[in-house]
This record gives sequence, C-alpha cells and structure tokens, in this order.
Amino acid sequence: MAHRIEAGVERQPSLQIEIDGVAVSVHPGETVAAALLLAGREHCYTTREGEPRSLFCNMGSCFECLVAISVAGEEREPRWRRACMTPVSEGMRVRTGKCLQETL
Amino acid sequence: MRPVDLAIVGAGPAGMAAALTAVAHGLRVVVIDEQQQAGGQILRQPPAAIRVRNWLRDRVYRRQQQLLQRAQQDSRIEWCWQTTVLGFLDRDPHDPTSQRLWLHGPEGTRELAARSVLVAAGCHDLAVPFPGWNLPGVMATGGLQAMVKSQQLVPGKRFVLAGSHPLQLIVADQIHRGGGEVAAVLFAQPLGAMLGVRKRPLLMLRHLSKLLHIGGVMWRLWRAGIPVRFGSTVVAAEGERQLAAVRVARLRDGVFEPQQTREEIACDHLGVCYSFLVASELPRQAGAAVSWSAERGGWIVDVDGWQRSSVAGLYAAGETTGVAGADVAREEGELAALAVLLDQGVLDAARAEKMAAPVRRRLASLREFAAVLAQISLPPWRVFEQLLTDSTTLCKCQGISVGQFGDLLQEHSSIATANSAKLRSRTGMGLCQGRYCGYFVTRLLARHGDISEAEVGPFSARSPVKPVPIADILAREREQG
Amino acid sequence: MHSCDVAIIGGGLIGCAAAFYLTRLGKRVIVLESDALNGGASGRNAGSLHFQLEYRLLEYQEQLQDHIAHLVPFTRRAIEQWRGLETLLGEDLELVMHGGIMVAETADQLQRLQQKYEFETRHGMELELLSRSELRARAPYLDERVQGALYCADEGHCNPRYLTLAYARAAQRLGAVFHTGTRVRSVQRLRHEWALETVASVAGDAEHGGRADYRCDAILNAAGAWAADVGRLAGVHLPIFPVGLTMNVTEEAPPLVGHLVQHVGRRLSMKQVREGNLLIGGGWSARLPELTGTGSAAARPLYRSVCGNLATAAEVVPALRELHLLRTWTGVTGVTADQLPLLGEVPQLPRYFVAAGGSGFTFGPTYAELISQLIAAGETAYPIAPFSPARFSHINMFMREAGH
Repeated sequence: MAHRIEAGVERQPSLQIEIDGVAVSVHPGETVAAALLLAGREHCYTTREGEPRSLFCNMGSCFECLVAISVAGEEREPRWRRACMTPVSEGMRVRTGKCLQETL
Repeated sequence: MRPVDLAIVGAGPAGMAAALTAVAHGLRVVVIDEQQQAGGQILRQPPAAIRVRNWLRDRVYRRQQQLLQRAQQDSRIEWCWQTTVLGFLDRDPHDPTSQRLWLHGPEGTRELAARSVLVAAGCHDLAVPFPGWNLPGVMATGGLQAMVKSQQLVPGKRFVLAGSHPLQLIVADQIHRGGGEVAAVLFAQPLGAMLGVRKRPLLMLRHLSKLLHIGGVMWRLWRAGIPVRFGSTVVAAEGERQLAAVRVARLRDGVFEPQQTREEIACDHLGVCYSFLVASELPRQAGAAVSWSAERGGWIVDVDGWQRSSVAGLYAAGETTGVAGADVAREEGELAALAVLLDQGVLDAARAEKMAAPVRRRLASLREFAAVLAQISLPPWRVFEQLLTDSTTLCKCQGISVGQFGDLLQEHSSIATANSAKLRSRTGMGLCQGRYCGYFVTRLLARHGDISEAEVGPFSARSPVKPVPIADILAREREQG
Repeated sequence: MHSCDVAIIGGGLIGCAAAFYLTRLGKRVIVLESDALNGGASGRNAGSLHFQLEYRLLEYQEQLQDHIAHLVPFTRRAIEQWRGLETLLGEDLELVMHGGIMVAETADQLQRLQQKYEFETRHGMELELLSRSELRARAPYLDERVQGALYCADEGHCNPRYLTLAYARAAQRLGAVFHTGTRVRSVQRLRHEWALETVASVAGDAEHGGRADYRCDAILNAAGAWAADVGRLAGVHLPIFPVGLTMNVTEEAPPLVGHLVQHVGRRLSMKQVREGNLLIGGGWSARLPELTGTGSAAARPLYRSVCGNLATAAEVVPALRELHLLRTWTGVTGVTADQLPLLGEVPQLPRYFVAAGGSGFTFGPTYAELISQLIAAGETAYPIAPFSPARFSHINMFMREAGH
C-alpha cells in the first residue's frame, strides 16, 4: 500500500472525496492518482476486452489513468479525466473500473 | 489579437532558460505547461499546498534549482498553467508569419497567436512492452519518481525497477529514502557495457559531479542492502488484476536464459525504464522535419545550429531535439532564445553570435557526455524483440497485441509505412495518439520490411495532440461568438 | 521492364477495386501507387454510404435534372453491390447498412425534404419521410429542434481503412501486382501500347531500385484528387479539382447514434463506428496539403471548420458535447465541375481510361466494376455514358499535338 512521506512535509488540513462510494481523506494539492494509490484502488478503467488499465506515466501522456470524475458544484455528467493531472477538491466523486464505452 | 513575441511550450529547463533570455531583451513571452508550476519533469515541484523542507537539495540539482528560482521570480514572464497545447492551427491570413496555437486550459480552449514558437515539450519513458505490462502496479519509472518527488508519496510497499537507464538508481534511492522497500534494481545490459564510460576519462572528469552523484546513490543502495544487478531484466509481470510478482531472466549476450531457471520476485509495483522518447508531436503536426534516432528518443526534431526547425518561426530545444538531459536542455533553450532575438531583429548577427559562443561551447561538452550516456542506456533490439512476444500488448489504448499486429502485416503485404499500419491496425489511433506504441511500430515495420526507419516514417501527428472535451471547445466558441 | 494488360495509376479504392475486377476478368494488372495503398481520400474519408441525394447535389438540382435521373438507378445498383461485398471479398469490413436519416430543423428545410422525397421516389428510390414523433421514437439521440427527416433504409457505413486493402488483397490473390512507393513520371503512347516510366518515391522498392519501365495495353487513371496531374502526363486536361475537407473523430463512446445522420440544410454527416467513435464531417473545408504527396506536411486544422462542424453536430446530437474530440484530419478529395464522376475512356487517348470523382467511396466499388467491364470487354452492364470524360472534350480541343 502506498504511504505519504511525513518527515519534512507540511500538508494542509484534509478534505473529503469519494472513491467508488467510499469516503477518502486527502490533502489539498494531492492528485486523484495519489488518492487512488492511497485507497488501494489502482484499476482506473477497463478496456473493451475487460482488461484493467491504471496509472502508468503519471505525467499526462499515456491516458491510462482515466477515471470518471464529478466535481462538486458542476452540474453535469461525470467526465473521464486523467487521475494524474487532476487535483482533488472537496466533495469530488470518483468512479473507477468502468469501461470507456459504458454510459457513465 | 496581437501576437505575443514568443510562446514557449514547456516550462522545463529549456523553456525556463529561453524565457529568461527572451524577456531580458524585452520580448513578450508566454510559457505554457500542463503542470501547475515551473520545473518540468526534472524539477517537478510539489504543489503549493504541500510544503517540503529541503526539496531536491542534492548538489546535482543545484544549477537547475537556481534556474527555477530565477524563472519563478521573474515577473516579466507570463505563465499559462494547467494548459495543453492541442496543436498548431492554420495561419491567420492577415498575419501569415505568426503561428496560431490551440490551447486547452481550465476555462476551455482558445487561440494564442505568437510571432515565434519554441517547443520544449520534453520526453517520457520509453515503455517497452512485455508480457503483463498492462497490469495495475506496472508503471513508468519516471511516473514512480514523480509521485515521490512531487506528491511526496511512496506509491507502493515493495518495488522492483527494471530497464537499462541509470535513472533507475536515482529513483530506487528516492523510494528507499521515502520509506519504500526496493527488492531489486535490474539492468538488462552487462556491467561491462556501463563501464564503457571508462574509455572517456577526460570527458568523465568534466562531468564528475554527475558521476559522484551516481556514486553516492550506489553507496546508499549498497548500504541499504538493495541488490543492483546487471545482465538481467523483468520478462513478465504476474498477478490477478494487480501486480503480485515479476519474473526475472538473466541475459547472456542479450539472450534470455531458458524459462525453467527464471526467478520470481514478489512486489506490488514495478518501474520500467529503458530510456526516453521525445515528445515531438507538436512540431511534427506543424510540419517540421524529423529524423529517426533509436537511442535519442525516436522521431527527433531536426534543428540547425540555432535550434531552428524546418518551419519558419518554429524552434525546438531540449529533449524534443533528442534526449540529452536537463543540462543540455537548458543551454539549448538559451540558444533558441538568442535565435528568436536574432530572427526578430532584436539582436544583430554579430552580437547574437558572440552571445551564442559560450553557450555552444558548454553544449559541445554536455552533448558529448549525453551521447555516451544514451549509448550505454539503450539495450540492443534483440532484448526488446524477446520481450515483444506474440501475446504482449503492443498498443494499450486499442488493445492490440504484437501477434495481431504481425498477422496483419502478413495478410497485407502492402503495409510498409507507420501510417498505413496505423490505418489498418488501429495502433496509434487511441487516446495516447501513438505516443507509446509508435516507437515499436516503427522498429517492427523496419525489421519486417527490411527497410530503414526513415522509410517507415512516423505516424502523422494530428491535432488535437491530446483529447479535449467537445464542450470545452464549444464553450469558448459561444463566448467569442 | 514490366509488362501487363492494364496499368492502374493510383492505389486508392477505385484503383484497388478495379485491380480486383480486372484480374477477375482475366487481365494482367499492375497498380502503381506513389505512396502507400489507401493513403489518400479512400482511407481518410469517413466511410459513409449515402444513397440519398446529397445536400451538395440538391443545390444543383435544376441544372442536374437529367444526370440525377440517371444517378438514382445507378444508386440502386450500388446498394445491391454493397450488400454482397463482404462475402465477395471474404473479409469483415465493418459494413453496416442500418439506415440513414437526413434531418431538417426549419419549415423551409422540411419543405425541401418533401420535394426531395417526391423527386427521388419518382425515380425509384425507397425512402420514408419521418414526422417529428416518428423520428423521436427511432432516433431519440436527436435534439428537440429537429423537425423531421428523410429515412433511407440502405444507408450506413463501411470502414474505409479496411475496404481498399481488402480489394487489394483479393486482387493480389488473383495475380494483380502492386508497386507502392512508385511514382509515374512519364506516360507515352507508342504505336500499339502505352509506355510508362516510374521513379521510386517515399518507401522505395528495393527490388527495382529507382526507375522502372512499364508497357501496357491500357491505362486506368484512378488517381483521385491527383487525377488531373496524372492526366497531364499524357497530355490531357481532366477537370477534377482537389478539395480539402475537415474530418473529426471522438473518443470511443457508448452506443449513441444508430444511423448515418446527414442534414438537408447544414453541412453535417455523422455516424458511430463499431469501436464506438463518432465520425463527424459533412463538407467543412480544410487547407489543401501540398498536392505533391499525402504526407503530414499541412496538417494544421482550420479552426473555423473544426468549431463550425462540431457546433453543428452538437446542436443536432447534444450528447456529443460530453465526448472528447480525439483527432481532426484533412482528407483531399477530387471534385468535378458538375459533381459527377469522370468515368470512361478519354476520347483523345486510345485505351486511356479514367475513373475518379463523384462520391468516390459510396460509389467507388460500382465505378470500379463498370470501368473494368469497359476496359476488358468494351461495354458495361449499366450505361455510364453520362459520366464519360467526353463531356469535357472541349477543354482538350487544342491538346492533340501537345500530347503523345
């Protein structure tokens, strides 16, 4: 399981997001990818063939860490976003493991 | 819309150095980057909300850190964060000498006109396909490192690093210092190949600080009991929907040992790093000429002695012109800025030459060192060939295996170029736009047809170079509408 | 020296399909392609099978009355041909003929649909005029603003990345020879045959190095948007003009759009392919790449076209807004002055044939089959006289001596 480095690191008070219906405490500045690693939910999306895809490049190039994200206050359907490029925000809801060709 | 003087794509060492030089001579400069802060991947900073004492204070980062401080403190540079350059748009007929960039930021997409554009978009890990590489837990080593450096998070419990690039040592050290367990660091090449650097004692002496840094890292790894092995690599990742173990084979003359004797190492995360691939899709989409270099990152942008690409007004610096590291990138960025100043008439030829001379001198030595490093860092093709088994996924976006790709080549003897392979097989048509599979598609086609990589050619780069929500395109359109 | 019965210039859909039909008729065929097979419009169009008269043709309804009357039965022939294509070629071509709708948003557009319906059914097309409520039931993905549509049950799409290569492969099995990376440099009429000289281009053919010579009884110019350039090598003007078109493709999406969707009053063509991507086009222009090749040189999208095309599409199918745009690209197609194909023997040049232009994907297989019959047997199963290049003979009146 992933862990935060604590020595010499100051983080701001935690905020809450939801990953697959489970509340997770994260800190401002952390990415959704970090939250997924901490929550032990690395399987981001599922290919048509049923294979998992997950965080790979962690720099926005490979598009394998797509997860369905709803941002609190945005009144629209969840959107596929790169977990590694998306900072967490209070009330954010993340769905993992869905198929890209599935209705969100 | 009045064009800015210089738009710089990428806020890494090349971008920062170019921006500083250009604003110092009065140009209006906009730097665009997908991250939230300057530094690029080499100095990928923790976000403002996470404060880290003594962040990357190793001596080897000192010059880059100084550059970062100067750039961040220079109020003349306009920064454009969390913004992706989607491509070069058609030129404005009323201002045909300017470039028009298509940007995607938090507020949607927009245009940016610039008299000159410098692409310093860096590189990403060369991800060599092998059986099981699509299991969660298998990552690019650069990706692991960014998690530690920038998020201050050790992304797993027990790690194996496999590949051929010396970066592996640094990342192993960073993971270990962060409290992660490193089960092994594996280099595919024999130690002898790495020690080839001995043959260039003078060159190595000039770059002693880097060698000392690696030496220090090696010492810490040794003291921590972390095995660093040469001549072996991971040949399969195993686990049920999450990495549980890797299968390791020793190599003799680049050939894997037989199946029976291969060792298994338990781990939950594997970092893979065989080398790096340049991000040249933007210049290619703009029509810039490129050349193939297997060692320096695939399709690298052709530039002249001033970092000018073949497209007027378009410059390239740093890894985009061939992977050579952050120090080379910084110098090339400065050189590119001098070229822009020269071409825009801010500097006259004599002055520009004079200012470029010391930069070029430094570059010569740095490039020589980078070339040696590149040479020892990339294993021969036969190593990759053995990893690319028929069942290995070649294109992860579209789920196409090496075997399926090979079958198509057998069925359609007319397929010779990367583009024709893309059209028939869908490799390179997915979300990553062929960034990862393109290198192997090119090399496989070259071998299949017994032709050169230049004849195979790259995938045509298309805009948007990264997918963009249609709503974000239309939102802006309506606003301007 | 290579010798054959027919040298086909151009390895696109028509060239490769003609290679198939001609070899089946017992001809020895060599296809000369300057780049790779299927590299031009044949592989870059969106693969629509649009059998209703297109919006662009309706604009010229008055002038084209006679030709259009000829086109409708021709279309019915094409529909039959498409239905048997996967069996004929023995390959999955992702061919679907699930129906297409041409939508209308305004009273004026509805009236045009009505006129179009009457005109086309009079000539034997089977179409259905759908009211707003019928349309809602059949195509719930459409926006409220759509008032009605004309439905053609045979329309659909086929994967353009597969079709040409499937023809090439089938032709190759029958003995056709393909020389890619081979650019025709000169065309000469000898006493009883044609002589061609080629040079290696792009992916050089190591087997015969740089230059090569060919002798043949007949030439088929199937060079699409480049047919005029190729024609000039033989000393004729073929009035076909390259047009750059913008295409857009979204990420793979859940099943959403179950028809080929076109618009009677706006530039829109849209469909969802098997993998789930939506292909969006409909005649939005693009800057022409250099016509010397099909390379990536001028791949810069026209921003107005991309935005205009996507805005139109999202107004008709609102769910599109939430999808990602994956790529835009330019396809270069050849358009003739009267929008009809150039199909037949060139009057000034004995045994020199042309097949290009005029909805080249939907009708490509049919053009190829008919021109092959003409080349091999001197007659066709369906009259193609209205498409003959003879209709433009006047522009070649002064070219006789300049030619061969």
